[in-house]
Amino acid sequence: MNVTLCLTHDCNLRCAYCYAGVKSARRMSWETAKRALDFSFEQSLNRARFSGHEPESQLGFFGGEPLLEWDLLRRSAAYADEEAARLGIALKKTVTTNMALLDGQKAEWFRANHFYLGLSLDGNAAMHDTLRRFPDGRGSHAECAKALAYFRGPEARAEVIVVVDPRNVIGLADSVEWLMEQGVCNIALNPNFYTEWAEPAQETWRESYERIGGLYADRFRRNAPVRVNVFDGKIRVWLKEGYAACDKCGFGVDEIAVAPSGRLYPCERIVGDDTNAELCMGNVYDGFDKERRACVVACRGNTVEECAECSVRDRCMNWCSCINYATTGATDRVAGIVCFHERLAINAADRVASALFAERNPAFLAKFYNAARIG
Amino acid sequence: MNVKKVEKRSDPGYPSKRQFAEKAKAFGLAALGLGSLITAGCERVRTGGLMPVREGGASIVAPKPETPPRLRGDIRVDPNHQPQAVPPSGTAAP
Repeated sequence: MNVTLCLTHDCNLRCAYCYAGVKSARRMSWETAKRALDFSFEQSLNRARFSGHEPESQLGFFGGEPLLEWDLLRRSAAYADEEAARLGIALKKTVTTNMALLDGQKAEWFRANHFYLGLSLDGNAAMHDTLRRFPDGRGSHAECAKALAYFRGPEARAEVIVVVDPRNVIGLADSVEWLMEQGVCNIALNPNFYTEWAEPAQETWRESYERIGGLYADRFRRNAPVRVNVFDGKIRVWLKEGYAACDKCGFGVDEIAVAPSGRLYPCERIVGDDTNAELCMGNVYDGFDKERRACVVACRGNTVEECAECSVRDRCMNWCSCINYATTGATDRVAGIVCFHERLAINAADRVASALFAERNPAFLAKFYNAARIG
Repeated sequence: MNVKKVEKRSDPGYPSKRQFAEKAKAFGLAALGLGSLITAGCERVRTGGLMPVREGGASIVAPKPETPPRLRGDIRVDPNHQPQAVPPSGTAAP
């Protein structure tokens, strides 16, 4: 069971593309956090009994900005560790932060407590400050990027999340290059599908992925590969000839998000300002609203007829329910912009991977095939 | 913008794991071992807010249990649904 606790609706930034709803001081109480953890562990144990697998759980901290609730985060993580150990549940912990409050002490605490971090930073100052600003309108890059120093190199258990939006896509390739220069080895490009992408922006997006593909390939040629989720993801999905059932969205089944109020949603991207009645699946005190949850779960996936015969359907993320919902209003209807992006990503990844394979690039072969040339 | 079916597409110019396993020698390559072939570089976690571009080594993971059977209709079939009341939590705005 993956559970994400949205610790607060508040945030110290006002990013223009934020989907997390109106910012307010509503925060999660300790009682709600504890109940959410107990509830998620109950679910993990139930699922393990049902599947016959060892129980496991992933706990994510999200917001708003979760570091605004530092004491609650620490207390919740400590309780989760204790309970998971007592119940025999393998626990992974993640946090997604905008980095503005992330100093050396906190970075060390996360390291010591085995967290995996999502660091929201849109690359260089020009791209980042376009949309990620403080409430007073100042760009936040200078304050947020300082903490990158704690997460350099391939051993860092962190990824830098770059939100790609039509208003900042012009700086995307430069930003990825800048991140690589800073020593970031794990870059996640996170498209904003919640907005209109006009054709010129789509074209810029296409050109950017081509250039990023060149940067990505260059790192293999220098024997210093980096991970860029769009490229690594599409290459690996081809290696195993399509997404497996267990790769797909756990939306409402083994993936839940808890709003500060304790209400349950199928994904943290749906929580918003906690007013979505059609996707609210209960609360941590009374448990699941079974009828509503069954309805949410049943309507996952993709029912668009054109997709059924598409030759890249097995490598396409048309099943991501929260993106489908955000773009089409239905969890099972994929939007044209997602189709555009998936074709773009598959083509860009295949071009790079085909070239590196043709070269028999040692780093590429080692990373994706654990193989080497004979002789 | 609409969804566009990709009519026909040949395999990319690099092999899948299955193709590689069948023809490694023909490629002039040798596998160094199977373990990391499946899981190398995979951190099977998703940080909150990130689109799930998942890439884990799923081939050795058994499928998850079946989800409940699909119901007809869209999730909006119950427009009158109200979320259940929950105890108040959190602190008020200062």
